[in-house]
Amino acid sequence: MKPLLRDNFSADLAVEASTMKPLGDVELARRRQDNRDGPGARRAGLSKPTIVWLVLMAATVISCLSVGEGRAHPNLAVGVAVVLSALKARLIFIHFMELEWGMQPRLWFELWVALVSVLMIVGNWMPVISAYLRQALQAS
Amino acid sequence: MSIRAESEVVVRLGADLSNGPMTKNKTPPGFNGLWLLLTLDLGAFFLYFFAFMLERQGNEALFEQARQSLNIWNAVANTLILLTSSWFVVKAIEGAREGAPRRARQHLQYAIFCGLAFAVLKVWAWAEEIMAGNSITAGAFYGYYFAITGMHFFHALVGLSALALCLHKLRDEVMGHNAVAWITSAGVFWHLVDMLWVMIFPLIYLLRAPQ
Repeated sequence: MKPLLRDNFSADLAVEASTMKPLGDVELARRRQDNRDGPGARRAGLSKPTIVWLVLMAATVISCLSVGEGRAHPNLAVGVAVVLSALKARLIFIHFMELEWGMQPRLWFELWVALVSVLMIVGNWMPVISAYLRQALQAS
Repeated sequence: MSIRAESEVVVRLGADLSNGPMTKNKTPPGFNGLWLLLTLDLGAFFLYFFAFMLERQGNEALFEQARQSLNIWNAVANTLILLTSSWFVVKAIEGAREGAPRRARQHLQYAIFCGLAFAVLKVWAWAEEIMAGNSITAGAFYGYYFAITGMHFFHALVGLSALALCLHKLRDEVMGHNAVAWITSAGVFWHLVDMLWVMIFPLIYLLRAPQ
């Protein structure tokens, strides 16, 4: 029976469908699963969030091992821990929170991380800094 | 845009305003007032940290003694748990954006499980301190320790409630048109909880007076 409406595509689709190989059971099940789970579910290799997570875990272990067990010199360990924590916080708000440079909160978050890091370093070294300043002021 | 207006555009025009990797508009993910709330929250925590460091001046020896009494491995475990929960939240948001509520639900469940593990470990750490005789009135360090970690714990509870609410919104096989907006907002708040802990950990557990 002739179709009521003509289009230019149905015939091509019919030919293409008839020439396609039927899917096997495994492939069919796989595609059904993919349609349920979405295109991102089956991806080869490590995705960006996974790489970021691995770096964060490694940084945590490094900073705690160097300070906790007293292996490194305490001053160096504290400095490394503060810098690493600042970098970790940056990784979180850039890659997990997806804050890019054009977005307004990015500036505030960067500023916060910088200020807290400076606070920790200056606050920790304050006795040394104030002794040095006192000496410098007495000398002048 | 409000959540409702955003949903209108999504439903009527089929627009993708989900702030995924291909974001063309420079608005951060989540609902409108969220980032103002987060920025003010960061300001509040900065003041707590500043007060802590101020109190520490002149009392370094006392603070160091108190710091030694804390269980650092509990805090390290908490850091690793929160980082892992953030990864699960990212995967859940990814699933929601791709229209796969089942995958989003699974990852959200794991994230909430990690959050509950964090809560249990935190209460355990507090119980350890209190049973050792160091309660919130035991000294300046402990006062700040309980106050800062307590404030953070409150934020974690709010974040967990938001994630549980998103789990409820994703319960059907067909996602509601607000679901992505909700889960990105809750996810951003949970990442803030993680970020705060990442900075609280060195402040309380790792700072040591210079030698």
